[in-house]
Amino acid sequence: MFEVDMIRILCAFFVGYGITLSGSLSQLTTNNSLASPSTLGMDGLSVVSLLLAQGLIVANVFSISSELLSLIVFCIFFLIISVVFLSLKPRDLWQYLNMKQIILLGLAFNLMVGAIFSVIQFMFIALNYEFPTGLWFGHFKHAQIENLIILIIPSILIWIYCLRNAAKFNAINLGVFVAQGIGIDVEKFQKINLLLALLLTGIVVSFFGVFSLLGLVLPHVLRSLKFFKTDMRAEILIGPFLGGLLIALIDLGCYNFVFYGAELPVGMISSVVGAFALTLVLLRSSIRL
Amino acid sequence: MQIKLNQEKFIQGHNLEVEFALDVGVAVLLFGENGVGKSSLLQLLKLRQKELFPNKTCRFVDQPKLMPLNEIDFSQMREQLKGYRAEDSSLFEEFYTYVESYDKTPLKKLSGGQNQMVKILLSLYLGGDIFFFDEPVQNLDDQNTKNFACVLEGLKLRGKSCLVIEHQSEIVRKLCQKTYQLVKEDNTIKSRLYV
Repeated sequence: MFEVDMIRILCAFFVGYGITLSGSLSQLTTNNSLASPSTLGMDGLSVVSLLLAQGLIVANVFSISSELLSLIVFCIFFLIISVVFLSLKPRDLWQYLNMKQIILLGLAFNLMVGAIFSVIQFMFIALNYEFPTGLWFGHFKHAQIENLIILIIPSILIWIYCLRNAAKFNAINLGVFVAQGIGIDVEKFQKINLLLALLLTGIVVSFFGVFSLLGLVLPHVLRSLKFFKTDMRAEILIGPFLGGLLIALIDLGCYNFVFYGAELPVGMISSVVGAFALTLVLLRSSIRL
Repeated sequence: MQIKLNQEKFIQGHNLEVEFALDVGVAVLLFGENGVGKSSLLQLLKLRQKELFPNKTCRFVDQPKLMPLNEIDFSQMREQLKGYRAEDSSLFEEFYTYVESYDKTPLKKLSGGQNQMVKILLSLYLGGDIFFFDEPVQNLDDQNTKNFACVLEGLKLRGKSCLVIEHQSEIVRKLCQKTYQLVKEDNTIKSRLYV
């Protein structure tokens, strides 16, 4: 008989929901199939917040939960980045973001964070501190109602914002030139959307760890299904719910099928499933990279 | 309508000082050597369309291809963009036959020429008062070049203003009543009426 922890299942659902929405938001905004929280460095920045929070906890600076402290650190980063990013003036006449450059920067940043993570992990072990290695792979072992509420509110608000702007997403899907031609302020729209994707990613990672690849994979998997093939509105409307369902199911499996007394992190399983699914989708169709 | 555009450091450190007339029912040709800033000028017009052409709807047919992430075709694209249609968009039906055969083919699978025709027909579908075309016949075969000429003629007959950047097609050149050349003089890009 399956055991079900409702809070945990809901957390898993809204993590899947948030990641899918964040991935779709990144790709639709930039009209680039390589854009995602992982490739844009959003995961990396959130992990930096996690590591800083962990350091502050170890140093006994604060006595609040590491998840909440991580979110606070992330929010400070988020505010600074928002102010800088929104105030940056376009360098040239074309006035849209150079996504190739941003993705390369994001990948480089993620790699750097991965390397720093390994160094810090080594130092923690060398100094005989307990290091939460599970951070790198998201899990729901410490799912709490407070975290769930903090995750649900922005997720739903951003989803509503996306639905209200679905026509703009459909226009940008044809190319930034088309969207600019019909009067959309592409640069501003892109900046706001990327910041919203970052916010969602930051909340998810702060509370539940990293679910790498999913933000990249799930939108592609969705677009390979008939219902999502031609309308971005459908992807925004239904996609997050399917992403949520997938993570909730994986978590249900991890919770009930313990491996030699240890629970497998959902982030680990979902990364394997995601990588496999992306390979299948790439082999089946002709994704424009 | 007389358009005056001044911009410091327009491209490659050059300033821009151009002036041209864009009258109702008239097609204007703009040409110039490579790198003089023709497409950039069109981009500037696009970004400043509300200020330069108040109460007018502008449509731009740019050089880049339509590159959607999904499998959308032209018929679905029209459905999704119908909210952006101007009041006067009746010209589309007249020329729809040019793209009818690939109306249901995903945009991703269209050839360069077909993609170009879809962009041209999209501008007609959306409708407007002023149409800007950036090298519209670059990827088109002879038949579609003639089709574009018919579109241009149709736009003029309906009292639309058109600005076409083109330097190859003689047919298109002949359809334009006024021609301007974009030239670099000292540190400034200027427009000259070409006779």
